[in-house]
Amino acid sequence: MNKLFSKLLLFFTGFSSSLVIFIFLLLSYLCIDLFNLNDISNFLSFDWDVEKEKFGIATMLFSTMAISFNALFLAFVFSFSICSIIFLSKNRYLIFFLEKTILLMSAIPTVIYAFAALMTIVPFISTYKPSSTLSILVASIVLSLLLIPTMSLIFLNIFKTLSLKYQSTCLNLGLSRDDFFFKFVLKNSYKNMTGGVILALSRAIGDTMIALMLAGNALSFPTSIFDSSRTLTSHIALIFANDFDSMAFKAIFFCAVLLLGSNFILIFIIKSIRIK
Amino acid sequence: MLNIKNLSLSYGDKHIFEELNIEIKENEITAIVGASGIGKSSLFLCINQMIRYEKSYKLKGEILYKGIDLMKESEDNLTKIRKNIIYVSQQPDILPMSIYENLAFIARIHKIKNIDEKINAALEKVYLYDEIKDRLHTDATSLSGGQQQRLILARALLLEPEVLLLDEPTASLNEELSHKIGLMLKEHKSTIIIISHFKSQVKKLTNNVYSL
Ligand SMILES: Nc1ncnc2c1ncn2[C@@H]1O[C@H](COP(=O)(O)OP(=O)(O)OP(=O)(O)O)[C@@H](O)[C@H]1O
Ligand SMILES: [Mg+2]
Repeated sequence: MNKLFSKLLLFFTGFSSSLVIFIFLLLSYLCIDLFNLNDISNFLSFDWDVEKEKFGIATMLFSTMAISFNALFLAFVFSFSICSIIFLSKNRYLIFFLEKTILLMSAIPTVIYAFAALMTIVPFISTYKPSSTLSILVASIVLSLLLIPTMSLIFLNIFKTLSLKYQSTCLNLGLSRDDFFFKFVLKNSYKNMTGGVILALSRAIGDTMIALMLAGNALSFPTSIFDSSRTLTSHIALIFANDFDSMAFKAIFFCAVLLLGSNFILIFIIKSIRIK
Repeated sequence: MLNIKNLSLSYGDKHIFEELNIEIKENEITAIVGASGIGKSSLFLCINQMIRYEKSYKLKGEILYKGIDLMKESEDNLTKIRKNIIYVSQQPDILPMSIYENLAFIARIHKIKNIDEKINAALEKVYLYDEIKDRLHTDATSLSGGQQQRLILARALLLEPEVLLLDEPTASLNEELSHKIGLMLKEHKSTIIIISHFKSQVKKLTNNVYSL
């Protein structure tokens, strides 16, 4: 029975991984067929203007990075603080409240975050800066809400595993709980924490709904975080191109390849961190 | 030095020991013997109050250390006291670091001076130095069970605690090494409580023997 089960498992693992490899190969093949060097230099420019035959997506690439890294920074600060409080606090109710809040946050669909932000953060920011409505800032803040539960759950898991294994040893040797956390747990978890941050980054890059609804989708290059801008994912969603031979379709395809490629790279980095 | 009065412990409805009275004399070795599962290790957890981190335990009585009742102390005070009552557990609980760091990490936290000298001295005392002197910076998990057990004993000696709680410190060592470490402990100037399965073994070390 056990043998059968492990054989089945092996079969499904093999099947799904070969499927992924197949998709990747197919995409690579299509890329070679689809793009020539001229096209690629066109895509890597900053202007998108269909009339003028300009299909540059570098601006969207920049916006994606700007929003993702802002959100990542905010989410890291909050997640790290929340997890430290959960770990160090002696107030059981506070710990319970924070843990349940994180779980609840992970269950809320992104559309709801976006709607809530449209009614709260957006008017709030425009009272201080009337020229700014939908912007990189708004999208970053809301995107960070999406990343906080992902990151926090990973951090908490790392902290809990370490404390289950080593807390009694360290306290036996006269360490305080604070010493244990700051001098042992943190020192021994930064590698796995980096893995969690990168996982959150890949989530941030791949997010579509929040960027689409809150970043404003302007095609011009953003000069500050109060500017409206468009991410790669939003761009894919917004450009209607069903003519396979058109340059617009090719450009959209190129966006998808970039997204997929960045995801592969990030996952590869996580794996290589874990193996060491 | 350490006075245990009318101590009773139970986990849930399971009584482990009742009305235990033990007097530990300063700078002498005291042995605790008893069958497996009788509650010897649990007694040590009571003494350093790590029992507080166990689930559903009930503890009554007094544990007087230099006249203060440990059971009534705050966790902050206990943190300081535990540095002076070091518990060496039955399973070698090494940390996921190099051999050297396993010792140096704790020494640095307790602001011990001349760390390197003291580490070497502690390793010499448990007859480990010669075996590992050229791989001090390799992972401590690569040590054998008996070597790990001596490493955590060295870690305890390094901190120079007033009281050493040794839970079967020579369980996985051969007779010769057990004997040598026994002699070392006999000459060591501090209060030692040692757990063992066998009365015959501890007779060589001390006349203060308590059976649980
Ligand atoms: N946290 C706990 N919760 C419930 N029962 C426990 C707990 N810890 C220990 N016990 C039980 O208490 C009894 C005493 O355990 P303890 O480890 O103190 O025995 P011991 O005398 O050290 O045995 P050994 O010589 O085998 O090490 C055992 O029956 C054990 O199953
Ligand atoms: Mg035991």
